[in-house]
Amino acid sequence: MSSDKARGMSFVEVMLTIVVITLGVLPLLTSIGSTGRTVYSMGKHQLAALVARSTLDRLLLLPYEDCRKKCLEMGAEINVTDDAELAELIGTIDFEHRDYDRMTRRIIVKDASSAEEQELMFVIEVVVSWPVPNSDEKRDFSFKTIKYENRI
Amino acid sequence: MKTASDNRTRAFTLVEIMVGFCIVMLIYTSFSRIFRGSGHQIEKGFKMLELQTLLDEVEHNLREDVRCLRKVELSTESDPTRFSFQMYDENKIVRIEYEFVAARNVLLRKELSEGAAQTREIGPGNIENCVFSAKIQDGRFERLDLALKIKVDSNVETAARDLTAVAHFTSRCAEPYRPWLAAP
Repeated sequence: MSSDKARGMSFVEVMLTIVVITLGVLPLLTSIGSTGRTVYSMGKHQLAALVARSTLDRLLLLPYEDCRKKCLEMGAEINVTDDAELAELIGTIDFEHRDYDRMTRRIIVKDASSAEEQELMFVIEVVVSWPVPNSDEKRDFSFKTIKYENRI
Repeated sequence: MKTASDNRTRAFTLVEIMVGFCIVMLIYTSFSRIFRGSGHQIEKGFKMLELQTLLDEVEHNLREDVRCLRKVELSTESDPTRFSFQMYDENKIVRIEYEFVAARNVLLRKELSEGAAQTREIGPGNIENCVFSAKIQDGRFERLDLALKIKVDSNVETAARDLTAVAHFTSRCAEPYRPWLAAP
């Protein structure tokens, strides 16, 4: 009779089972968090592309020298909603600021290697970044184009 | 030979059943929470994808058309829900009008050139607001600004349901804006 009783689960075994199950479930919970972050990032991607394309369109419209000057002026990283021209548009509708929450934009100007080419063209890169929630990570999206001097 | 008393000792005790039940409940709760969370994320992902597709559709249509804009026919100052212009389509000039119909939550793209107008609906039931603003400087079309709010239906509380976007569109073929010369 005594040996039959020993076949039952002891408290330690029960606790071990719980610990093992918990350890098995934890990675699943982590993967859900990661899925959430990916979904959030996916949602921002299209908006970031729209911001980058719009900014490039605006800059490419300017004459060569003005374009270069404007790119350098606008170079520093700012919140997308702080851009004066976009802010003006934001005021026209019932705008959801959470859509552009902490999304930033910066403009990089890259010169050609030779002095001769530098007078004729330069590269404009618009980088739009947004933070991933509950993490220090940041996602980037960038568009590059070449601004040619009209003489070409 | 085993007695009836021996057989009874092999059955589960109340405590064992309770412990087993608690463990099963713990596992069930954890898994149901995980699956519910996954379900929400999937729903959220789908809705976000729907919003992105809608936004892409509006942007793609406008960008392609405004790229070929030749001249503005109807400025947006009096009615910011309508934008009418002429554009180059291969070798011919076509008249295009975009109109936001608030009553039907739809953006209409009308091709007014040859014969009967061809109308295409963009995002029917999903466009909550759409404001056009054509920038014209010194009589020349500079760019089109767009502020847009789109929405999708969702039963899940956490799912993204609406999205606001602002954008600029420029032309590569613009001519000076002369409304007095515009076709009726």
